[in-house]
Amino acid sequence: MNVAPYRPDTTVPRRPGGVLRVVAPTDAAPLDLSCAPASTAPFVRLHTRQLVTWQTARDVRDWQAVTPVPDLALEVPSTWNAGLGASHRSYVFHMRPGVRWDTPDRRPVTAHDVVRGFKRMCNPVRPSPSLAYFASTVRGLADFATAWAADATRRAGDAATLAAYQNAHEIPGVFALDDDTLVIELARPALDFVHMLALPAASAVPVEHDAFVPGSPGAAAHLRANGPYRVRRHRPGEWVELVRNPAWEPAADPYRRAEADRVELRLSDGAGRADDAPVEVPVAPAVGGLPAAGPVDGDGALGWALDPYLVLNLRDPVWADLRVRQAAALAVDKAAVAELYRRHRPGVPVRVAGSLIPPGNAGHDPADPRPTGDPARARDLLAAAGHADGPPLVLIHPQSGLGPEVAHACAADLTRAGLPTRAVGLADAAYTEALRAPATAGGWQLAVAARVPEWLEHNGRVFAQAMLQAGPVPGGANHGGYAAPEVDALIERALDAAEPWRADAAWQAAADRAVADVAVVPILHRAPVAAPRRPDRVDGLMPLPPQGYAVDLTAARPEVTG
Amino acid sequence: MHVSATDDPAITTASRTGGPTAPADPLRTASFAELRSLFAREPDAVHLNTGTIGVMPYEVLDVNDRVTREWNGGLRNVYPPGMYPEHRAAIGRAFGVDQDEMVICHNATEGVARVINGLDLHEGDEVITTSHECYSVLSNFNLLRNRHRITLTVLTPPVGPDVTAEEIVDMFARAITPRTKVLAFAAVTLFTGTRMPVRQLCDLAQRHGLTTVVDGALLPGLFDTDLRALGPDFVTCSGSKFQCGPLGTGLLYVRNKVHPEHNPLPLPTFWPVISTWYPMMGAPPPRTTTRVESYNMGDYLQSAGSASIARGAALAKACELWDRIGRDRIERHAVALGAHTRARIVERFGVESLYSPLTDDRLTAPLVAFNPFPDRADGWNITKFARLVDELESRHRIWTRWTEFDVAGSPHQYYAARICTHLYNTAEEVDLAVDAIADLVRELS
Repeated sequence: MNVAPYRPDTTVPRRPGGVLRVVAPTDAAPLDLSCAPASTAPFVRLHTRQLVTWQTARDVRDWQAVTPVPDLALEVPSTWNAGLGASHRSYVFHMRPGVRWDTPDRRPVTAHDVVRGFKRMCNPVRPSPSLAYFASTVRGLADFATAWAADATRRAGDAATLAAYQNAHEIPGVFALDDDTLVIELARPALDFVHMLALPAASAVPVEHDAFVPGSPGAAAHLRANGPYRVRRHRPGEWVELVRNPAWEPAADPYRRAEADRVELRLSDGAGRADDAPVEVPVAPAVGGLPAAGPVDGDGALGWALDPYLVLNLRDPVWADLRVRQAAALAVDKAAVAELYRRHRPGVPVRVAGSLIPPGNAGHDPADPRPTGDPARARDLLAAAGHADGPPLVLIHPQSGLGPEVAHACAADLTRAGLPTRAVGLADAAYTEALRAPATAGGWQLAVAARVPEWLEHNGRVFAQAMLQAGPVPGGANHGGYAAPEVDALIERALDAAEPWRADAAWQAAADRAVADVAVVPILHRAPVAAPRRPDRVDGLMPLPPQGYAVDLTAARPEVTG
Repeated sequence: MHVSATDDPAITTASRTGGPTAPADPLRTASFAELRSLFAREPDAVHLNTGTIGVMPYEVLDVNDRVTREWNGGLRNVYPPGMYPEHRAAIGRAFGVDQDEMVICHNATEGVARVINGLDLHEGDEVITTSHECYSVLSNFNLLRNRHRITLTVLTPPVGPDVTAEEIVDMFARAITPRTKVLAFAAVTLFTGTRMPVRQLCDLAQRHGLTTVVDGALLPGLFDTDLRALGPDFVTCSGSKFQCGPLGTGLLYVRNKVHPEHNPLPLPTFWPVISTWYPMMGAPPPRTTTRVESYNMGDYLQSAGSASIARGAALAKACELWDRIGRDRIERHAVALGAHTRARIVERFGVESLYSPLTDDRLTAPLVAFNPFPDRADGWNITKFARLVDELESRHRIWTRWTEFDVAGSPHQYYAARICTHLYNTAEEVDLAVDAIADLVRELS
């Protein structure tokens, strides 16, 4: 399929150059790609490329806004171009010539680098949050990851040992025929597979990265770029400076630009708050999105977010009794949280949510049958469960966006209903770590979180699989440790379905079952929002809808003075 | 093996379709070396890819040009000739069917789309087909899956030299369920050149009361075929492959009467979804249960707005030439060359290199798919096959193609080199191609 080439916004002539200043939540820093969450995609786009990517779109109803376009690959494989067989289980990618690493020899990016990226996302030290998607889809990848994890229990997690294992073992379904040709075989057809390949986890990785443990400061400090910018220096948790990548050839990159000479990311726990300087391009925090942002196409938009919801840390015995979990769900006054959003995010549509999967995403249940806000019933349930008073529950929340406001409202509701709760704010990076590794990050029983879809078509898995799957590879957003064989079976059924309606029905059933189990407490469904089109002194801001409607930072044109 | 007209026993045998051929027609007795001069072949090129596109005879080109000019900007009524009544009758005779069952369409893909979308299928009905079908078949059945929520069961047929017709029939038989309504399969698969046991599969379908949809893209012009005697309900054909008509021509057979000796089942409900002359009010009479049609289904399908009068005429001319040469002769020549091709491939690359059938003569066709590389793993290396075909073209001007297909039990997508032989090919051309492939394989391995 041919897709129209990238056309930058040229309505306001402005010469390239200048410094683009961006303010973003701390957890959105350009981490090591192998373990970077999808929320880092707007930054990953600056310095790293994937087999496919997205193009910007001003009118997000345009099909091209949600369809992957070839990036490192010359074409998106299809039956038309003989890159995809009749069974839809074998993809052949031909690498785009002219894409080079930011290495002294400006080495070409090869199919072997993509294979390395797939392996590295399975690393046992800091596996990718997207690993479950690929483990359930790519032939042999789950076994590769499982075996590596088992091996790591007996070996030191140093870079050399990890690299030795990685390079001595293969994922059966991911192999390079030569430098220019990559084959990816699936365990089963997946309608969203190509969309998954735009995630940071599927980035090509150069051999130089083998020298560092995935996710380590060393890895972040020695990133090799193949995008239009490269990281020149950074201070973890504070700022990152990127400059032009001399190895980047515009002719070999049809979907990115490099308008600014330099990009400065200011990492801020308070990112996106209204007092940010207008010359900075804001990037949305997960909870609450951006202030002063415009809703995208209202009710008809694809990609509404589950924002916010409560995570119940089911590893904690306080949640062992279903009635206690139900009480927590009934305690939250969702309508009050909606008012809070309307106050702080005027103009952005929100709906009280009973279901897990928001509108505009595959598997959404429009009936939304779950009740909300009944403190009296919550108290009755707690009494029936014989719930005894104990120390206050800890409700963690990020400092960015509306995290603090939501957390304090929910803590008050829970306390009033008989579940004394204390809101604890964490710096964004610490909060992310607490969700990722709750066992090592201190005790918490509840968390305020949000989930923004990572792609927009056939995307039921970005909610149901990511948030609910326990095995064989846990979903990357199953923060509460939910485990239900019946739900896992429904997830498998959805993944097995060749028909979209059958998959959607299974996603919906899995989500409904988990909400009935009170694995999480959905609070609101929020319409997607995009950054203001024309902040002062920055032009060319175009949204990337599948990346949370973030702006394409490569195309942003800061004012150039002098 | 050397093939020449003097070896051809068909010279003295009348064609089934034509009956005793007029002795004065020189085409009936011309040697195949002489017949080669009828075709507008590229000089110094070896065309072994007729499964993709055939070479048109000069006469066909001339008809196409002449009729295009005759009807260019004219003031005459263009609609009656676009129904091709005489051409359909003549072509139908060549394939053992009547004018009301024969349609000239734009290509096999259009034909198969019109058939599949005209089937009377509903939610829960099951269609059984194979992963070795042309993508136009699988695409349109998926469309029905989305539109009507049918169940689509896709089987992967066995491949290789020892495959038997019984294995293939048994594969379909085991897949049939109480919800099965349709069997859909190719007469000759384009990926591995397997001549499917059409008659046996139609027998199987008839025993279970099923409708049969046959992708016959590679049938006309290659095999001397009696479509009615094969027993299917629908056959869609290309006009531009082995029949060597213009690009953008095809044939569509729709069973429109009941001949119990061939197919005793009632005619399936069928909706001619693209039609100008399907009644604008009311409905056609009930479909016949006898050997006499109750209406002209072919006309309903043929009437689809303005048509390319020239292309229809040119296709009819190609069919007429085939009838004059003798379709039985052409089949024997092509099949003999196919056997020669298989023998040469086995000799050079080993019997295990064949994806096409070998031992069961019922399944062989003059389309031979094989992996010439000594490393079996190269069977799923698309780059080697693409390079092989490209080099054959650029260095030797030998036109072949590579194909891709599933192999049952393997996680890999397999690739094959494919050689097709037709009436304008010679054994020497096949030898040249096999030798060139062997040289390239050494270079690429």
